[in-house]
Amino acid sequence: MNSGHRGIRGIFSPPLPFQRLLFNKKGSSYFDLMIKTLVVITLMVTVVSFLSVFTTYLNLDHICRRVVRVVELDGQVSDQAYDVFYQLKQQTGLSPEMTVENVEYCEDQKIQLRDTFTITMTYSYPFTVFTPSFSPPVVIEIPMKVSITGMSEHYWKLPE
Amino acid sequence: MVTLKRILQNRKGDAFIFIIILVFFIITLSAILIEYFRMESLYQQVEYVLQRGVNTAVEYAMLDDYRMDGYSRMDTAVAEEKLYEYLHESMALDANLNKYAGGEWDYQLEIESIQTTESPPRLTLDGAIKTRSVFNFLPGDVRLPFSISSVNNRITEGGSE
Repeated sequence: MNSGHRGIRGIFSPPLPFQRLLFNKKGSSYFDLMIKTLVVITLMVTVVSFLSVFTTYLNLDHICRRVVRVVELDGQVSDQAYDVFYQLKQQTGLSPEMTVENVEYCEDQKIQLRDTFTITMTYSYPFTVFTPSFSPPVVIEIPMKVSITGMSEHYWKLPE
Repeated sequence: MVTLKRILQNRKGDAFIFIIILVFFIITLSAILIEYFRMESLYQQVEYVLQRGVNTAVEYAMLDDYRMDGYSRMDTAVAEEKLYEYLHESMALDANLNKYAGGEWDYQLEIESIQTTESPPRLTLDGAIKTRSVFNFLPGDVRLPFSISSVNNRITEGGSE
């Protein structure tokens, strides 16, 4: 085969049938649609995977709200509050840390009627970017923090 | 007259007018929705805080001497006093029950009635939240009525176990 016949660019240009195929515009919209579909699917998958971050934050907020309500009704950071906390941890599959702040206890862990307290929950959400088959998954830790202030609804009659 | 007729019959730029009307409707609809959810959120928050106030007033006014004998009674005067104390101290409302947030008027609490019963120990607060809307040039102030009640039937001695 004479290489001198390969188009105007000489011997480095692609073979003639392949060149013709590349410059042929027939069916280009089909390829265009395929690439666009791929891009849209990739974008949708990215958005859906980001939704898990928001779901986790909502779950954390829910746990915190429920625990605050229990402490409000009990008027103390009781075993019941910790029971609800552990139960919700199991239900949601999260493992946040709980701290009680800005509180003035009147006795043991008791909070007097109308005294306020703040419960803070912190959690580090491991967001998996991608999982290569030859190495461990690439993970970004997203720190989350929810603080909710409550008020005791229990009146403790203390000895004078 | 002829000029106006000509303008009305001229079809040039009708797509532009159509887009302007469409954008206006979308913006108005968004504003209505945002305002509705803002009101709803305010109402939920105030209702929650008021419920807590009513609960604490009843809790404080319970007469423990009666509980020992298995009765549930409440000092109604103390309950009302504690409720007002809560409104002013914990909710930070002024003498006319106005709430200011960041120096700006947020809402006013209008109390229509406070009904208390000794036995069963119950306190019912009826009233409305008066607030302003971004659309207040149309209907004026917005009133969101509420009815909040708390009853305490516990007959075991509380607070010192």
